[in-house]
Amino acid sequence: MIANYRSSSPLLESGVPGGTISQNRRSCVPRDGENGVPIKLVATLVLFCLWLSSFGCSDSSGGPSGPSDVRDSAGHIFVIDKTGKRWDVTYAKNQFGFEPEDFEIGSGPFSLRPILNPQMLSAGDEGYPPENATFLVMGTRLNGIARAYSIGVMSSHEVVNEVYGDSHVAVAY
Amino acid sequence: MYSREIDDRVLTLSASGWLYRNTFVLFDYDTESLWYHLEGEEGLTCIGGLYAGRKLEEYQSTVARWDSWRRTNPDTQLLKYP
Repeated sequence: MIANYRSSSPLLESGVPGGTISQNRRSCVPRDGENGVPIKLVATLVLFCLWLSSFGCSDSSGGPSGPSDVRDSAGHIFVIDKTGKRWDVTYAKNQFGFEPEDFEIGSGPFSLRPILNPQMLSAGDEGYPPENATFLVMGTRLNGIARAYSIGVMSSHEVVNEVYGDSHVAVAY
Repeated sequence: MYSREIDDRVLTLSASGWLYRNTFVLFDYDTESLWYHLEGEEGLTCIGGLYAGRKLEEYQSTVARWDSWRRTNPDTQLLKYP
């Protein structure tokens, strides 16, 4: 199961173009109370930073309404994410009716890093939660092995690459 | 939860950074194929790349409170984090 997107997901916070840009701008503005810096210099710096950040605004990754999609000379359709990476969605469109403009966020393949070598706690281990704890988990059982993954952790990583006995699986939220 | 075995290969899956109609689009590090849980279908379908049209089998998973999951699965392990 892959859960629907929720506003609490860290992906949105890092994925909204407006948010990222305004943060950049804030960091360029000198803090109040800095002594001895001529107003003119401050103004020049602010203008320079705004000018720099305008390059961030004018990239081709598209706005909240969806990514820009491009076609190459062979008719392949690509969506381009915020890192500039091109993803070929020709098959998705032709075979399954995907609309390139409905691909959202596009925060890049390293924005939500999967867990690659998961370690498990068993009953009795330090840190194993008490029986009456109420946090949410995704629970699975395969090849006689039962494992649970906190939903909070799954929201930050989306995928855990797992091995259950001799079965290689991806736990995805 | 999905199998990540295909043609004697073990894939490493990851979020791609894309969301399509409120569902995450996954990709694999090995071939950069795109994988998606199509509405009304079991498993992950490859929607682009080397395995286009192929599927990764789905295994059952449950979202529950720890106390409830633990009660029915007293032998459960828990992902250690960080």
